[in-house]
Amino acid sequence: MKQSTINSSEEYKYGFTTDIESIRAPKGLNGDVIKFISNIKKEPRWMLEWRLKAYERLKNLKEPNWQKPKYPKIDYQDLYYYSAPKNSENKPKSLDEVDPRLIETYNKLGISLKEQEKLSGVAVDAVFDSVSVATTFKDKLTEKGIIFCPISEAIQKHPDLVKKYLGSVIPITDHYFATLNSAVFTDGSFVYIPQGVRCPMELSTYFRINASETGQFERTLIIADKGSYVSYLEGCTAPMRDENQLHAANVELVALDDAEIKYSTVQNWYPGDKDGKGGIYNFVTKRGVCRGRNSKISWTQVETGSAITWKYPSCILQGDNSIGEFYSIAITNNHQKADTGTKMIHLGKNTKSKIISKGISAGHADNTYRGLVRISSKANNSRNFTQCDSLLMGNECGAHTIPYIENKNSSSNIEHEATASKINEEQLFYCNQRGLNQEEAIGLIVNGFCKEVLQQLPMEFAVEAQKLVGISLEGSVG
Amino acid sequence: MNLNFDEFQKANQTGGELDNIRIKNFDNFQKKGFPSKKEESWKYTDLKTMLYNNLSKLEVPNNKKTSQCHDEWLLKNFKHNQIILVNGEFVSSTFSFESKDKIKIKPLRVILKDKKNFNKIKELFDDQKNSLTSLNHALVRDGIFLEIEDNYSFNKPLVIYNFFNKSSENKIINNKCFISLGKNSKLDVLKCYKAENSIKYFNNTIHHYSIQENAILKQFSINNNLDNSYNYHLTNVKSHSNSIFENFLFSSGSSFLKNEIHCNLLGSYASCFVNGLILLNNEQHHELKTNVNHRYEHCKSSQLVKSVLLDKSSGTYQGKIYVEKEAQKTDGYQLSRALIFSENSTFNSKPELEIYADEVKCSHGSTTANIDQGSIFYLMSRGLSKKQANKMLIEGFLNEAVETITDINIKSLISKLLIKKINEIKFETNEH
Amino acid sequence: MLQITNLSASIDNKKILKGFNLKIKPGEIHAIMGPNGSGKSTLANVLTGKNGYQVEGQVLYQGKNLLKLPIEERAQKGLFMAFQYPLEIAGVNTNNFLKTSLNTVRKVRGLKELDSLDFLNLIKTKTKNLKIDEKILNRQLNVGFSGGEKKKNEILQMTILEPKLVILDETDSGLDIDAMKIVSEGVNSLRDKDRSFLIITHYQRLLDYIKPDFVHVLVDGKIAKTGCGELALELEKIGYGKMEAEG
Repeated sequence: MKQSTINSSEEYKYGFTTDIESIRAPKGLNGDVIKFISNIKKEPRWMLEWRLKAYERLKNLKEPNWQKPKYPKIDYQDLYYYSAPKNSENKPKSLDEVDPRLIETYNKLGISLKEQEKLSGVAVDAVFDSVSVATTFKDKLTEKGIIFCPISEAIQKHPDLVKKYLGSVIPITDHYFATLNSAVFTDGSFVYIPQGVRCPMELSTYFRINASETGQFERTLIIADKGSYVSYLEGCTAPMRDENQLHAANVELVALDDAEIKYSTVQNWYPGDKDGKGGIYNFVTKRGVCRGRNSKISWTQVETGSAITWKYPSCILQGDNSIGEFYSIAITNNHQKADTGTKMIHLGKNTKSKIISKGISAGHADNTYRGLVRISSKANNSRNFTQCDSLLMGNECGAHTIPYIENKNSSSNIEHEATASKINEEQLFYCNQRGLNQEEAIGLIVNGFCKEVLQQLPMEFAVEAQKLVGISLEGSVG
Repeated sequence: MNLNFDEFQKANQTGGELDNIRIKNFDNFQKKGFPSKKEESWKYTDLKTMLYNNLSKLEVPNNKKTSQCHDEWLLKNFKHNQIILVNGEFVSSTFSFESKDKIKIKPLRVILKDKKNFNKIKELFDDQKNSLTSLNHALVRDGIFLEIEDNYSFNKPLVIYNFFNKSSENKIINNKCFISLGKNSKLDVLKCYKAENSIKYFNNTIHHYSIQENAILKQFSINNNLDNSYNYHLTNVKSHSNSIFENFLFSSGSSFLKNEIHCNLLGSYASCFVNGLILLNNEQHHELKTNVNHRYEHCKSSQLVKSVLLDKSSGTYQGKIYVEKEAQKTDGYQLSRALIFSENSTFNSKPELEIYADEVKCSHGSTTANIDQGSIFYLMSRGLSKKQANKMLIEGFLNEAVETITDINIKSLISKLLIKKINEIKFETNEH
Repeated sequence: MLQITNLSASIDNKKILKGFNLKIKPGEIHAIMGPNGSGKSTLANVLTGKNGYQVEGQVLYQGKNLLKLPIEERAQKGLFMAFQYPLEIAGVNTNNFLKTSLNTVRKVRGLKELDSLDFLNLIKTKTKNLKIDEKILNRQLNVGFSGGEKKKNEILQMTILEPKLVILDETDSGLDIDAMKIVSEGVNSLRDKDRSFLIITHYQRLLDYIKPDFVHVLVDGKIAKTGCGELALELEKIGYGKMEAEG
């Protein structure tokens, strides 16, 4: 008995639930629920109208079905669209006021806010379920004129910025899940870096999905004004659960002239058990636009969790000389499925993009890279380089590469390379011979395989991500 | 468009199973219509719009015999066996260099009418890849039926001439070519296309090749002068163990040409090579789609496609390597390289890997770029004009594909045709 | 042969040559030495007509305005540059390239084009004289050639095209002594009362093998000093720094 408890906690270290009471909207999706959400957030009228417009649009949209991983039909009327820890009504002014049980949860996750505050200089805007409950380092950021707050707060305090940029990258008329998010999003982060400011610390948010049967619909909006720089970290862990949970976030990035945004994600949500039962559906829309000249957006993702990951962090390179980058590691084990990649849309002149994708497939998993590189006829002297490598472990998994490459400009170059292969047995042997066991050896080799991407991560994440790469593949080779 | 199926159906009744097959397939076609951008594999080719804009008077040919062709169209100074098709219909065959008893050749129309023989090819009508295959099943009238016995190697290549004369104008021509190559046999097929007076028509052809154990089939399609025609060529290959299929495509004539080649490697140690060049100018639109299915161990496949796009032309290469769980030790390779010459030309590519076996070595690469100005400068500093430099670079670039041809005579033939084609191209001299 | 008057050249609005003057008479060998970034390669590129430079001033070649001619006409009229970094051109056969190039030049000079056989004989003699392995002729142009092989291929092209004015752009860089000997023998064998050379180099060592009539020191876009062969040796000792200070 005891033995099995230990095993299951090893299987998913972060699989626990805190029993904080929740406020919930009634089950189901309709105009009233949207009004309920808008009301509880004390939103202005225009925001509610915006949501309702999205909801009207949603009624005429169908779920996409071109993706490789298929999933059981989701009953959107059987989900809760809002749940919040009850005592968030009176928001804590400092960490001391935060519910001690919440603090305990974070400690279990290894993200002690206090410790981070002191040691790493990371400001954490922690989203527990759907409401932000604690934000640190606010003063330091305010000094520089940086706005870093829950988006619900920004809607009230900075309506002009929100009105101007919300939906400007992912319009409410976009695809099904993005539109769903626009209608029912609960909370998320808002970042504004003023002109010429270099954000002095990595901004970070830990998302957690907690309450049972709650779809998570975060909304993140980051604006880097002219000549500014920001690095944003998003990290996720979720508790163990049996029913599948839908997660459909929208992330919008806007970089103006000479601005740079670096967005890093480590996603380690519950992947389901060994037989493919349970796990998160991670259907996220992430899109950035390099609106200004010489701007740059860089996406880095380490995707190891979720039952199904389905996302394409993209860059629209609108400004001349702008740069888009996408670095990705996607690890799928057991019955996990991932269909992920990026879109690089070159519109401006002298635009450059780089795509490095590393897919690792083990167990019965299926891992797909899907990407689009489009150079429009006006994007003179543009460049793209793409490298997609897949590693297969075991004979029951799949690895796929589906790039779309479209060049309409004679002065632009596109280079694409892809490989798929088995883990190198001679390297394994060499490591074994030097005393490493099979799993250590695999961890080492896979980390080497992913090195180019891991290097892109900020220090705080790199260490965690490296461990995660090893843990995710445990038990994949007999 | 007037695809008068009922009339066709009445005129071509066989009283056998085929009649119903035709009706069922025409129904299928009507439900879907011509392929459009909405279909994934036609994403880069909107055939429906293209035909609507260019061949609005398209009709099914009547039963009148129109076998007129010209001798000057035949290849000179090149010893070969030949089959002549005119407007898609079987006219004649000569196998002067071969032992006739090893070869069974029939016009397909004879097979279609004969109940016993029809059973041999009946399964070909099960293929429902897209609406054009349905249309082909419904309207096929003739083509080639060729069986080669075991242990027979051809002495000379077989040239299949596809001529289209004036009576093909505005017609939709559906035919099939069936070739079965026995164990340990060997055959080189060269397909040449020629249309009279630059007439406009739509040719929808399906090729079925069955290659038995240890056999070698090489196919060379030379498409260099079908100015105004619209063509869809589908090739289905079944490769059995230890066999070799080698395909070379010279995709350069025709307003529109889509070649779709599906290779099924149905035994271990089979190999399949699909290489080719696409050289387009004016407003030509060509697409090549290859699909190699690895189903058994130790098979090998490779594709090299080199494309040059001039003027307002558009080219596409979609290539997929599929590796089933059982196909361990697969070696799959694919490379597409394209040069875009003009600001109005486009190249799209979709190289795809779908892999379910772990012990494999698969890779693909795709580059599209403009011509290297440094190279032009280097050549010009040696006295070559810009035009000469361009031509030399194009030839050098495309030659890499021609170099993959393993038959020396055919390589030199294709090489000559390529140079001729390049010399015909008018380069806009847009000096800076 | 060549008269350069007050030549200025800039790239991306950065001025590199700043009023450069030089006169080369038939049969003369001139060497231009100078530190990195002094404008040596720019001079070679401007003379051969590479795109991308804004050029002012006058260059007369055989009495005609050189700057107006397209790249290939300069070459056809006998201007040859041995590239510092010869380009690798995949798919283009070396032999075929040489033949096309030679016949284009011959046509312009009013000579009969060579057929394959004559050309083969010619190239066989030339490769033998230069101790170049004939095998490179059947390879793709400069593809996979070693540094030495590329430079030797440049010299081979030079001897075949028989130019009037040869520019050697840092031909000695990256060469071992043996390759250097072959290169300079090639150059020396072409020395002629009607043929001139402009040798661009950073180091003096090539000038041990090819004796120049004049040595010019290029500093910051113009000639700082002119002398005879000894100047090169002097430079080797004192370095460019001193010269820059003087200039």
